Amino acid sequence: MERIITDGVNIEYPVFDASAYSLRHKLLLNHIPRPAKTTQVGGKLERDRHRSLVRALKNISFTVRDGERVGLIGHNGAGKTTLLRTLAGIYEPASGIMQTYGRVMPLFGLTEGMHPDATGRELITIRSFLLGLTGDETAQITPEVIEFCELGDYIDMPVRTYSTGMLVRLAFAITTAVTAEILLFDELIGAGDASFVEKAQARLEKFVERSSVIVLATHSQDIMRKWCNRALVFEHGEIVYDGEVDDALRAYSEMVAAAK
Amino acid sequence: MRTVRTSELNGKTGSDMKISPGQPLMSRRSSSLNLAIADILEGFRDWRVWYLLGMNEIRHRYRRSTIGPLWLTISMGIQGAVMGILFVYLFQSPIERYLPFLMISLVLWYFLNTTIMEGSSTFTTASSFILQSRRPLSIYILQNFWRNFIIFAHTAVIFFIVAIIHGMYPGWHYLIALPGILLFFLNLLWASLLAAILAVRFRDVQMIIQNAFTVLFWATPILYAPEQLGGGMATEIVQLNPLYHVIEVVRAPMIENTPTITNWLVAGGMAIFGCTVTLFLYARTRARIPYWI
Repeated sequence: MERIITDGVNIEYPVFDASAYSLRHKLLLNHIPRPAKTTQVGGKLERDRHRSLVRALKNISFTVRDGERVGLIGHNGAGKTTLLRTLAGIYEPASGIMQTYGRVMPLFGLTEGMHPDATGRELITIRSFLLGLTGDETAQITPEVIEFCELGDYIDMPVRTYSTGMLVRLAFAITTAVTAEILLFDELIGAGDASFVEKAQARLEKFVERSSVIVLATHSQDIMRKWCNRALVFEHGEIVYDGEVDDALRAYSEMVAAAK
Repeated sequence: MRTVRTSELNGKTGSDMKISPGQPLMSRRSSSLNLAIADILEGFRDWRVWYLLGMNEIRHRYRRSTIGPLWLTISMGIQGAVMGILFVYLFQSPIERYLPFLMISLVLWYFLNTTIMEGSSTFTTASSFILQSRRPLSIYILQNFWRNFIIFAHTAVIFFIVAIIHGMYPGWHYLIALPGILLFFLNLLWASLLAAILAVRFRDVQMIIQNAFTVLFWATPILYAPEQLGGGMATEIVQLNPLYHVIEVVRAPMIENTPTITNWLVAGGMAIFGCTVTLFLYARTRARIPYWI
């Protein structure tokens, strides 16, 4: 079945420079005209008298069905992160239709809500609640998470005593303990030191398998080939190619070469 | 490996309300007012999140201190004692009436002041949360309120101590304060949401609020009762300040007085008017807030 349907989605957002953020500008200086111009780096940047407007996504229409692993390709600022945030429901489209079916889980950063003074065990609770689990479910996943991240007695220490690797292990273990139909990745998550990587890899694979659909933005062609069976190429907020991963990667490198 | 499918969790995070199978996630402006109301209701329903986040903020602030949040009680006590002694001499009012009055005034004022002031930076402070996953934005407003409520509860202790020392014992008259407290909370909630919306769009608002509160501290009858201004023009003028009435409906019953009908009407009117205005503003701006951060 369809998991994601977008039809004619446009995302545009204002960028206020320091003065436009302020009341003074709003009240006093609005009459000062600014040059209207457009640029070709990143999303389309439009200016009118009052503000700069980024047209981050333009007329995006695509459908993702069960079993599809979609990779997003594009240069910096092409709209990949904006699309992911839109699919996650963080940005609401200015126009167009966006529907998702099933639970959406954005994995943009693993460390959301991680206060350095909280203990590892507390963090499991905080992250679980942030991910939407109830108290009972949190209690259910806790032992498994603790066992997986191999932190031993450190689980009751404040996380500021953790090394970066330990923190990532914990964050990774919590996040991958939950399942959702639609997973959104902005760069694939990874965890910890070499000895841990294999174990993490296996867990990540299972985590992805349990989902119905993933949408993944990455700059690594290897990861794209390994994880995805469909790719969307973005340029200036528009989809310029939609199809097989290899074809998309080829189309993208041609695009990059042509631009040089 | 035991895993939990979040889809089984009957809508515990915000996304489920819109993301339910067979229902469109969001179609263009499908009544922004309904979405704003839904956002606020979802915020209350997701109480676990703001309860825990707010609680942790207090816990972490005092984690390595020996007496922890008791510091809140102590510092309020010290400030009240110094101010109290000074003003007892200045106003020549009886200490057993003035000190409890001053304590309850200060406790309520700091609750109001910090909730709205910290409220104005709610969305900027929570930006890392807001941009990582979809959650009703009202969660962060409630988190701010809850954190300040915890502080309020700690500082309120000193009022009861002072009141009992001066022979004002707790009793049924506290019940009269109950509706007043509810109005007080309601007013704080809309005011902090309003401040948060305005401040995330216009970065000067935070400074404006800060300055306004410095002035209001003296202009609102907190350290003094309106009658102490001589009963003339000044007494009338300070009562035009709606903050006075919002505070008075709680304060008066706590020190064995009764709020006037005017106090009630103004505090209630503020709540209705403020909630309405803020709700419409929230409906207009809610979807834009993540872009403004």
